[in-house]
Amino acid sequence: MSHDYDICIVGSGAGAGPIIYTLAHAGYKVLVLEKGPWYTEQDYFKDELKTSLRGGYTPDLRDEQHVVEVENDDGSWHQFPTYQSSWNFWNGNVVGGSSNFMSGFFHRLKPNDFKLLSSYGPIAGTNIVDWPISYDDMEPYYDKVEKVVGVSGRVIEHPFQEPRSSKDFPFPPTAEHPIAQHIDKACERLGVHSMPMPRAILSQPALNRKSCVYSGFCGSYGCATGAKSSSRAALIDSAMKTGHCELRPESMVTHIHSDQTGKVTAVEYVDKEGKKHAVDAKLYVVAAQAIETARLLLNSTGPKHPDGLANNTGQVGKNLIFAGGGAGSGRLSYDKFSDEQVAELKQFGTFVNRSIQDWYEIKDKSLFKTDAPQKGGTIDFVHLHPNPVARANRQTRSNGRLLWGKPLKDRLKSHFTGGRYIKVEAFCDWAPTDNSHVSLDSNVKDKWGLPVAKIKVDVHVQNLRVGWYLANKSGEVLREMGADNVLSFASGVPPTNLVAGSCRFGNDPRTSVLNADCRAHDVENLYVTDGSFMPTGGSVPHTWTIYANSFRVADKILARLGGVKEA
Amino acid sequence: MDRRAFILRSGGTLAAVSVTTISAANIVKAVIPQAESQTDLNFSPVKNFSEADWVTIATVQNHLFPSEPDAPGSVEINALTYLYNYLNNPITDPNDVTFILSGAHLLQIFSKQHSSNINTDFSVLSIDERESILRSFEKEPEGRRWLINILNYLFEALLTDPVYDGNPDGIGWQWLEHRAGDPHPPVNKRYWLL
Repeated sequence: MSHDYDICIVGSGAGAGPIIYTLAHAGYKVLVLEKGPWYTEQDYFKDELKTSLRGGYTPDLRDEQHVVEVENDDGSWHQFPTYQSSWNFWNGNVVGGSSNFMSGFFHRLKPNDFKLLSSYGPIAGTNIVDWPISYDDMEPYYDKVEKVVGVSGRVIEHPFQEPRSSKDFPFPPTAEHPIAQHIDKACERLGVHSMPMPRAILSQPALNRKSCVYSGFCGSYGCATGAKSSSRAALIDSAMKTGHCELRPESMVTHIHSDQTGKVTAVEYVDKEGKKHAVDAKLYVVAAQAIETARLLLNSTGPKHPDGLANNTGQVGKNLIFAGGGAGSGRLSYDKFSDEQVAELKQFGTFVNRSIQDWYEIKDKSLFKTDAPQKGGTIDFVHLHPNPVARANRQTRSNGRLLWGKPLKDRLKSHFTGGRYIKVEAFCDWAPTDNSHVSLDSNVKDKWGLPVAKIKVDVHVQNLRVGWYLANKSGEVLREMGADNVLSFASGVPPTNLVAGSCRFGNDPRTSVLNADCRAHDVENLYVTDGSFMPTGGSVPHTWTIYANSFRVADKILARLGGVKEA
Repeated sequence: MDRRAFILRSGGTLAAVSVTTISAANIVKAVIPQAESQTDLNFSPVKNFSEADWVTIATVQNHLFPSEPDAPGSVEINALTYLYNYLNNPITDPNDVTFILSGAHLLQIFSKQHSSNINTDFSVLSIDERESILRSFEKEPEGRRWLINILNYLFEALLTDPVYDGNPDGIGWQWLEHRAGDPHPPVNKRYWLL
């Protein structure tokens, strides 16, 4: 039977890019359907309005929103549509997806992250399971990401350094801000290992891309040089040059059709003008990010899939996870430092690039009521995000009243010019539970008339315990650096840009959607390769693992299709 | 007359003039006709804004973010022009436009009900009286939400790229020693054009 394409991929972010890249370079006919527009380096500017204040890279919530359900203090639940709130679960609907806007803090998972249940035991109220693959299975692909997608850094010895097949990173670390030395010295005094943070940013021209130019605006912003290792810059641009890849932007996939046998037969989508199309392929990949992937599958009912595609055991949408953790900040006030030090602290553009993983495993009986080690997490040090309007808006409250007039202006002046702020982001596991999941909302629909995703968010107390532990440790480091105004706290608010789970992989179809190759258990020509596959998220941002797993699955698909085609 | 010409005619250079003496009514006279000359009022999202509404808004902007000899205020950052252009942009959520207008109306009514001279317009109150009214207005949930929004648009006029008609010549960035990143958005790639 002939097909329009060898493979059709829904989405173009970190979960899609490696599939696109691998199969296009292997000579297969690839079609990519991306909901958002196709921006290039020439379209990305340091524009806070476009990037952050007007949702310039995400859908208008009047047209497409979500419904969120959260727990009240009394244990009851309430739900609300996001248009009527400050919540927004969209992340970069453009070619390359949200990888265009990541900060690129890249950490691998550790070997124990692949076997959380057997390493640390069960936690009541959670659905923690071991992965069906090991770190050893993933390691070659972490290595591949470093070299093909581009990761810069420097390996040092520390207690939780994961095994590596390459001695060091292929690219040296990005240029570091002098504040990194303050962190190093404070950590040394505290007996803690300060480690260079790997970044998915090129520190030198390579891979047919330019080096970082240190504009000072990285996270949330699209990269104007191509140095940031987005799926688009690192993989799709290269795939397009093979001549085997076709990418259709502004193409919203509305339904995946399947036949009486349960196989996918076609993908239906709507183009920019509202015209419907259908395409077919030998194999299909969905990589639309965890929430939208689950929603698309749930909306795609068929004769063998009455409750949604790949959902015959009711697992699609279940066990949604985020990145748990905490945050902190402190200020190095200029009046405490010499003129020379102040000049250094005022440097702009270079990165902090420091992390601590000494508490990736925690033994603290007073907190956890057990001698057994607990899974901990990662502390990343970064600059306070430079978006000035956002910073100014945080200065308007004082003792419950709004500040305005001269007191407001004095505070703005002090905030912006009186010291250098450093921020901490702490990452720990977000435990999967029965109450964290994606379903279809029965009332709210998008502009195409499709039910929107309802996102139920549950925060397990273990997330908060570990988050507080890491936040307090980060506060100790900030104070040791001489920072004032130190704040550190755990948060139960889900980071909407760090989402995974919802179609987790596993060996048992009763508790998972995908098999170990990320192929749907009950749909033999459908794969899911975004962060949906992750049963647990590790104590780091997910993106490196999503890239690596997508390269791993790409090899499985390539083998299934018959390997690299002869030129 | 553009904003800069208006200020110059009102008493000197930007650095030297005590711009707090410029009344909101005069600011509106300088800003709004020029803005309206560049738009088709029949289809304008702000066609329901009266001159009195703009005067109320400009008065609040000046009060919340006053000019100082060594720091820009709402006049110097083109706050009214910025807000007008934002509200008049077809891409702006009509609910945002309605919210700003209804907040101005609410303040006008609230002010007349709560000021010592009943039926005195908010814009002609003394600075102390305005402060008192706004502090009371802040205690009303709708009033507080509106003031937070007005502050937000002041910050946008102060600190977003000059291509959006606030922050002329980077005056806000210079005041707060903020380093803006490159590349800057060009006119043909402002956020609603991309």
